[in-house]
Amino acid sequence: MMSHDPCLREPRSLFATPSADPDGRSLSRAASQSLAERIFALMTGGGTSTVGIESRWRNNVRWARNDIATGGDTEQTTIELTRVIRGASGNASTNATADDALRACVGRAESLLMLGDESPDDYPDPLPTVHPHTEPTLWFGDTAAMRDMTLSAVADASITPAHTVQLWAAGYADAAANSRAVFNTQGLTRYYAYTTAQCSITVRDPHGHGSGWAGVDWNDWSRVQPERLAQIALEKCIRSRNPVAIEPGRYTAILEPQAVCDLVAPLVERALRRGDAESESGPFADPRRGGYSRIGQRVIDPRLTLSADPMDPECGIVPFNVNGEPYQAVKWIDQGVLRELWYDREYGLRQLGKDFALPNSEAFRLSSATRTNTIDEMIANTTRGILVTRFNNVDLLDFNSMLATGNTRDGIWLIEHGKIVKPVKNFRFTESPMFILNNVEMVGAPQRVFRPLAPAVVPALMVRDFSFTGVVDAV
Amino acid sequence: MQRRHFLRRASLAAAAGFVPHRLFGEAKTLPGRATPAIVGRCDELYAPDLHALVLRAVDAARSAGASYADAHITWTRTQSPGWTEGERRAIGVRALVNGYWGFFASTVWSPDEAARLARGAVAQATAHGRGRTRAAELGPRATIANGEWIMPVKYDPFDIPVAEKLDVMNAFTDYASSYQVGIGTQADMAFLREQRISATSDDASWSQTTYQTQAGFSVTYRDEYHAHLGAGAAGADGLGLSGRGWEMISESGLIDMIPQLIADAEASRYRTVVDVGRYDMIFSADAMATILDRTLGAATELDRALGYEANAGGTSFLDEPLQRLGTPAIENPLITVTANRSVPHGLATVKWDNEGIMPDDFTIIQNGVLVDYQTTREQAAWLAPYYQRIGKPVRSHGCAGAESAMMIPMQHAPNLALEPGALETSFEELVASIDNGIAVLSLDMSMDQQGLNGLAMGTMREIKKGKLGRYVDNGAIVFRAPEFWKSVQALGGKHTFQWSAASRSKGEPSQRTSHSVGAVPARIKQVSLIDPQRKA
Repeated sequence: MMSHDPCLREPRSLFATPSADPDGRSLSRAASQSLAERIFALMTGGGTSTVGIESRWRNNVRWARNDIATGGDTEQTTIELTRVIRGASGNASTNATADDALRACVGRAESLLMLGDESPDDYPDPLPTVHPHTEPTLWFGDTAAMRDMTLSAVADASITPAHTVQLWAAGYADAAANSRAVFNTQGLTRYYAYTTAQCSITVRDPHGHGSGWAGVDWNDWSRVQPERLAQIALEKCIRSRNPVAIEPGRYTAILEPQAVCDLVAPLVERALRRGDAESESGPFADPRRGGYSRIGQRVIDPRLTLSADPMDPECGIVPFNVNGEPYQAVKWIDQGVLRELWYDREYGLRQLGKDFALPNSEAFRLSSATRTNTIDEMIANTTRGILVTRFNNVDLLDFNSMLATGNTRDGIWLIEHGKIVKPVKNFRFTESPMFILNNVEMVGAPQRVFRPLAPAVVPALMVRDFSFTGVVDAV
Repeated sequence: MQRRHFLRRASLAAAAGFVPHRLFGEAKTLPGRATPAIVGRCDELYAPDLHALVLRAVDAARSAGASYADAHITWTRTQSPGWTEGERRAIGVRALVNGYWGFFASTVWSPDEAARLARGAVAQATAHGRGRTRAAELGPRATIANGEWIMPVKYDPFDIPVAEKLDVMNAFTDYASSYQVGIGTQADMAFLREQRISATSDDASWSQTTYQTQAGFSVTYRDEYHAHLGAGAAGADGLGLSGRGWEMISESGLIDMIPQLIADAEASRYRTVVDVGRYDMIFSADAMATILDRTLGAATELDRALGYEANAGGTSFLDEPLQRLGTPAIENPLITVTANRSVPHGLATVKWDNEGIMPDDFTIIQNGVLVDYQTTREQAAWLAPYYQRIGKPVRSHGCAGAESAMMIPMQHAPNLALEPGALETSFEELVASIDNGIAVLSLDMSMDQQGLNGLAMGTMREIKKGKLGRYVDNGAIVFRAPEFWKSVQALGGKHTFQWSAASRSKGEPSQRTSHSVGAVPARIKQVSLIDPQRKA
């Protein structure tokens, strides 16, 4: 079988590389290339053009109240086109691949181009094919072959045990075959195929007295282990039932890896831009020297390193961005010291005299160079503190301090004298990742958490003086 | 016979109301440039009769064994003028087999693909049942056929040249910056048109076109002689996301607003640090709309209340609906909340929902008592015991929707409204009733997963001796929904009622839809004002 879109059938060519996805539900290299060539053929008037093509087939299943609720099987290819002539640019996108749609898309980009101001100095030419990218293993044939998630019995992995103890399981799982391709008229050709899979499970008491959650995503479905997630969610639900309210305030907090990710992810997504830091904005701007970043200064606990590497076997990601710029192995923060902030190619050319960008994939690994501790050891070392499963709706209140608010959910417990003593009602928190990463008592072993848009490998942390600012009686 | 009838009508509709195919042709060349040779190998797939495709899909689903199916095509154009243009096509088929749902979607508009999606949805629904049968009673079926509805707008934004839109933005900038020294400006616009062609296996077939228009025009003010005051900013009212066309901007009197905007920006430089404590507060209609949406709006989505959204959007503090219906949700007879998909310019306004149901205007909270939830056909049946008890028909409120045809239809928020108070009280009169308090003009909310506890920052001003005073920096309110609504002491009258935009994500994969929320200003007693940046 071939792609369901007849416009995307691969040309019969001796040179076409075999498709990673034999069914063509996500685009092969040859099909992506042939689509880009059809688009380039429609262009008029010179200049340069970049075409980004993302394709995805995804099958999902969703369950709630101990039964399958819905599911879905979707295929989509989205095309993003940028036309540039002497600095004037036009951008248009479409998800239709028929000739009329491509022609319309090119026409729209070119009309915008006609309205834009020319500014040759502002726009470097599209990226020439010079910087090679790495080749992480992100395609798993067994994951791409998960035609129907229902058949994997992933839902029953949590429904059956929850039903046995009169609890309700709800959850979601999917498997997807994807590709990303970037082509430009200067000869850049990039293509990468990858699979993704995820599962998350919430187990609740039918009367809303307790709730537990677990989730993870991987490129390889076989690492998702829904039975293990189900067991964690179920146990958390049972242990969190009938919580008692305790006073908000500053507590020693043991944050499970997912909770750490929920707090640190906004730092990675929002605060690592070099241009911001050098315009007195964000946590990495040097308050003493306007216009300079804090690169070279210690910004967090010296045990901690914040890094990203497309080749990381537990945290791999497509090795280039939508502009075709390669992601490099980077230590943003090395043993507490800020070493790098991301920048685009224009910044690289103008400020650093380098013809490349340092893009941010938003994947990250937070790790400790020294001995790590288990969560049990953290609990045993806590006189009075709080154990947190995860946070809900983390909203940024202030960019400069990265102060954020949100609430705990799906399992939170009071620890006294080295032991978990009781489940407590959820808290609202008002806290900054900069503060918690500077108040670390113990660091756990990093593990992959649930972050389907960009992978994260994060340790549990035991931190001092975490600010819980109010009781939230939602379960 | 009937089928042939609406095929013909559909073709006429496609030619008259929808983007004519010809438009695409016109865009293909730029003046003075050669037309490249194009191999039209995919053009034959272009199906002008999109009705035929959705009908084929529901037929195929029924022949494959579906007890019910619906199919939708969405054709969406988006535009941020001068910045980017987008087009999205989708076709999706949902099928019900033995009480279980399945859903397939793609972007390919061809008869073979429509049939493949239908068969796929049926096979998936069958697999979901795992040999079991579940009672899925759909409420009364859709009775419409051959429907066509186009949201009334004066000018389709996609008929207006981008150059004209850029001219409006440039004119705003030129006028404002020449009006006074020290004025900075920001201007942006965004437009969306969604054409939806739908059919169900109940022989219903219809098409709808909806629009969303949004613009932001703001000025910043800084003067160097009073640099200690910092910068002030103000944005034009009445241009938030709405179900309107280009006229929302072209007839807004934008240029005439500039003096007032500059005066507001100037006034907003007079600020004070937040003085934490408990205050009587006046909430603007916009701030009340935000709170209504995120508390009672989210909590009365029936799927959330029953736990179907537990792993996604969240659950509800108004859970266990059958026990709760008919009892007070809020101990405050002032509060009545209604829902509709009919108000002109509403973001959730349609003639038919995704199941072909013509939505009714309904009441969710009547004088504090919870009397209904937001429902689809399947969901209405879940409340049948309640409806029978009170002698109301079991009927969907028409809340089925989807972000696009790529997403499975599910319950989404209708337009919501906080009904005005009985007296013709104005915002100014409410402010005048407070000696020392706070006026809350707009809010950004952080809510928990049940719509119960919130923290909201936003634009606030002091009220001193019945008058608006300085702007309050970094203030936030914290509240618990039942207490907040219980503390409403007075509501603005009919003439203070105003619509705002809201949107909500739910489902997995997550889908986001928009709706309008209307409200009146209100006086709330003893709300906690905190400084979230000064930590405990």
